[in-house]
Amino acid sequence: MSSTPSRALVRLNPWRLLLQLLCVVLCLPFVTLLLSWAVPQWSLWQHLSEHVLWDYISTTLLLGFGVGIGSLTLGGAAAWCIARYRFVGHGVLSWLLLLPLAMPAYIIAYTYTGMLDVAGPVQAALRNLTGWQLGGYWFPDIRSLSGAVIMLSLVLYPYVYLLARNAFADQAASLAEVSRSLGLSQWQTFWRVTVPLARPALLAGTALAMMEAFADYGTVQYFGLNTFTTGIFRTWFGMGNTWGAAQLSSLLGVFVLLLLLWERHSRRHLTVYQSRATGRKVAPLVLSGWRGVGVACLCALLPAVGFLIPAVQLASWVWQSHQQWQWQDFTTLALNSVMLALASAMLIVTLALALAYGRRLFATKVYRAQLQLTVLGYALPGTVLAVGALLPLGMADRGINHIWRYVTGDTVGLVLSGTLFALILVYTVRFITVAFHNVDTGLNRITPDMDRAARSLGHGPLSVLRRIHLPLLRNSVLAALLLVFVDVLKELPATLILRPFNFNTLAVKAYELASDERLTQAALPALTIVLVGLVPVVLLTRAMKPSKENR
Amino acid sequence: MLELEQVCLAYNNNTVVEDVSFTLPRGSIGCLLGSSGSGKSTLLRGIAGFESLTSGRIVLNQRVVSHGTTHIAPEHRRVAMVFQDFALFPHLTCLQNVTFGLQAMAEQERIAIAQRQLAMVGLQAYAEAYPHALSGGQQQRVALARALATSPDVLLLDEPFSSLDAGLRDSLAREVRQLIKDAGITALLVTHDQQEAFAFADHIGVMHQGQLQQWATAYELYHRPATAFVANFVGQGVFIPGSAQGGSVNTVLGTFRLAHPHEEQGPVRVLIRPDDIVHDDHSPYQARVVRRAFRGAHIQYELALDDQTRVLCLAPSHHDHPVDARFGIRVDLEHVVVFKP
Repeated sequence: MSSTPSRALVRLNPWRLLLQLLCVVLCLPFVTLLLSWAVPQWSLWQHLSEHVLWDYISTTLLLGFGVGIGSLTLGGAAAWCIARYRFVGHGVLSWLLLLPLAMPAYIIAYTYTGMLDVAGPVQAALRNLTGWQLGGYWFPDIRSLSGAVIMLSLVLYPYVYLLARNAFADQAASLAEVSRSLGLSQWQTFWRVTVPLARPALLAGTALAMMEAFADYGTVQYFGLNTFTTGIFRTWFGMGNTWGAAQLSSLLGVFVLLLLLWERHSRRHLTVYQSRATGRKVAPLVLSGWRGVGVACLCALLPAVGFLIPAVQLASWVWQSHQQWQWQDFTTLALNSVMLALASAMLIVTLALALAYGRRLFATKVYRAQLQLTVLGYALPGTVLAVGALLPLGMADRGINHIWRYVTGDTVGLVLSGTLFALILVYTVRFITVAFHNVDTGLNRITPDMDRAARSLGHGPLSVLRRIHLPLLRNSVLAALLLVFVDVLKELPATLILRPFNFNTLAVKAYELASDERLTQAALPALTIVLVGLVPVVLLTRAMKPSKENR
Repeated sequence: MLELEQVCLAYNNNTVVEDVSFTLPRGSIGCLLGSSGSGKSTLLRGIAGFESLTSGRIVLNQRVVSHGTTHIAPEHRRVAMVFQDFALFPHLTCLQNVTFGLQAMAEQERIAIAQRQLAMVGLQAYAEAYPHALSGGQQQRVALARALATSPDVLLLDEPFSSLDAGLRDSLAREVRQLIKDAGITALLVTHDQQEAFAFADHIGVMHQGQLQQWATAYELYHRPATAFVANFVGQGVFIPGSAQGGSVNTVLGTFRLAHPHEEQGPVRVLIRPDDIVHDDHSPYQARVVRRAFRGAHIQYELALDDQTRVLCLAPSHHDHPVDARFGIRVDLEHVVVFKP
């Protein structure tokens, strides 16, 4: 049954039109990319297909599926251990395993490159120990496709871990017991009951990790791999072919959206499977003695390699290079980043609030559908969105300058595509989903009946907003602000493409310094990003703690 | 006193409530009974002021609250509501929830009233607890205390017991009825559960497809249903064919005198309740058992008459007959209810 607003509200409502216009603007980048095929680039595609296209496709697919398998294995195994066993350090490990979420892939990639380099500490120690000579032995090269797969899997496995852990822990004990009573062994029960029941969660997590892998630019560029994202950069900046870059982007975008559909599909089953699991849960097995210690060590390996070791390395580089640092430059850099991230976060959360309230007040079919499309933005790689935003904004700028010159005889420059406007637009498209889901969850906790209860108890609409909505929404709004803030701070490819001339952020600076092989100097901005990124992870672990409130 | 006069409500031009009129005297408890989609909840929200009427009039204690362009906002109606999901504010303690509607008073007075209300529902010990720490039944009672604290002109209850366990439902319904009666408040309940309606209300209105079929006491609904729908919906029973002539009606079970002789003539349907068919070993008229359901004190039989007409019979439990057995029956029809075929 629909909620209270009168019919007059549903007709031509300026607020709804405004929100619908916002949805259209936010969908613009991707629509532009799809339309870019209207300007065929025959020679470019001939060139691409003769030289690099198959390399792009095969490397991208190998990377994506490699990371998928890697994250599934690491995250699934960790989830199984934490959900079904109790051992030394279980409580600490269950949240330590989430720490790699705070580590951007490009940062872990260049940290390990520095550590495993010929001149790095690992190989130096090896030479000292064995007496081998430089170049006289074989050492695996991390700057390779398999290296990239490992790096990305190490920071993306928590997506699988998070979802799978609940799926394993919430399974009804009776299901496995039925299987055993029907004559299946423990091993058979695991593969034929336990894993299939957790499959939606495992697949959803894997799809998320793969989407991130396809979106990655920093790691593959640093490792010199030819994927779609590096190809888009090269086509745009190297070959100067904007339409071609847009067409490549649209291919990647469509591909990622297919993955997203898969993820959504898996999630639908997830709710069905998990909500049916009522009744007694499987009791975890207590592992004592050396077996407990062994499992604990295996679990500890993941956060150690995926977070602690690179973080300590970064810290030591910061220490080594602290004298070379121009603290004034760093302050400007940090201020730039923080101001940009803060402004974007506040704008994005405000827009998300407006969209969510819009749905509560006038839930027409068209508006709902638009909202669904708008919140797809987070699936699209930053590179793709940046290209999709630059094209229409660039055209709009040319138009503005034509008119301006006609009127005043002067030019105004790139007011849309060359300023922070373009950057914030792309951030909004990409991160409004995060904000929207948080705000919407908060808003859904306030049932329409609560509004009605407050009204019938003598409170007017404004009093309801102030006394019910604000206090109940505060936490979800703060969480949304924080998550978007950190996401913007970490974002690399879109910022690289769209930042105004001479405007740097921590992520861009870390990436540039690392690309110039000045790893130790890149450590300070990198470590800053990692530390700020820890805040939402800590928040996440606190939210997941089984508290008395979640009865 | 709550008066509804030809009230109509609509969603997006679809009429949901049509032409409903009834009067609920001060201090009595009314109930709107109907299946889901019958419009009963919409009507309740219309009375609370969350929906505007398309036509008609609602008068509350001689005050017109909804009529034409007049639409008093919910917060000014002196109407309190208890919701199906209780709608307790999760960020406020029980005491704060109860004081929520008393903002016009001084703080001390507010707290005193709220504590009295919480004590009345037996929850004074939980004043500082948050709603999530309470059981379903306790939350229900806090919601009731919150609604009663404002001493409303009418208390509306929207399926207040449906989210509780079946065992708790009966005892809580009795308890809540007593609390409302003690407070002397006019109340209107919405439910789909007949037993709840019978146990709770003085007057019951049966709603079907947006229309009020009958507004009467439980006894009248059962024994003198105004429409065939009410006859079917309330209690059990079957219709057997008959023909009305003059002041009586002829059926396979015999001839019965009509209460209102001149209303129906010609072929009619006659309502036969399970308790109208009495087990009688001495009766020459026998029927065959088709199906039986043991109900503890009673057994409900489905019987086939000689012409294969089926009727229900409620017999004391010790009259135990297997399926296909035959036993004697007698018709004890006090209220003859007939409808057009």
